[in-house]
Amino acid sequence: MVPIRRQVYILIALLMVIGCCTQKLTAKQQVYWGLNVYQAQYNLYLDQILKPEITGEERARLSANPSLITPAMMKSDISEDQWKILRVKKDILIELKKIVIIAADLVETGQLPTADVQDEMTRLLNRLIEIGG
Amino acid sequence: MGAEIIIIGELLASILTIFAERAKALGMKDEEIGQMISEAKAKALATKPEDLPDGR
Repeated sequence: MVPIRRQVYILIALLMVIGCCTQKLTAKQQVYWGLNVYQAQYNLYLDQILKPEITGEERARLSANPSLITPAMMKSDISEDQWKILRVKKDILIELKKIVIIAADLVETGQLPTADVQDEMTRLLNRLIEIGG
Repeated sequence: MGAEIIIIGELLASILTIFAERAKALGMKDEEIGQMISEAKAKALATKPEDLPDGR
């Protein structure tokens, strides 16, 4: 029986290979992907820390202003290992937000993101995949 | 062990989300993406990742 950790590494490697081998995105598709990944990961972060009973308007309020989140609203069983991953993810999200907004601004003004912007977005998306999202 | 399984589950869910979003973007035509990018940008602007609690 292959240990579960190794199974996960194998699965991650396979997913990365699949990701690399699939059709290339256009510049606009990449911006759309980046924005959606950013939003999905932001929501997932909140899922990972907030008690599941916090839903609806309360959840939307906290999503718009996470500084309102108190310890009583957070899951009590988050391990230090999980926090370590979440801290890395938070840093990536801060950077990713800046770059996807720049890219979206360019698309809105009829331009395509520059190679620098695209490369930076790709780097951050790959980092998210590397840390396991 | 339980905590490890939770972490692994979260990681997998997260990675799958990234690839699912990629597949979604691939299915879109450039001509129809513009409006969706504006809507997604507005949502992103309404977030504050710097204020997310991080256990410190």
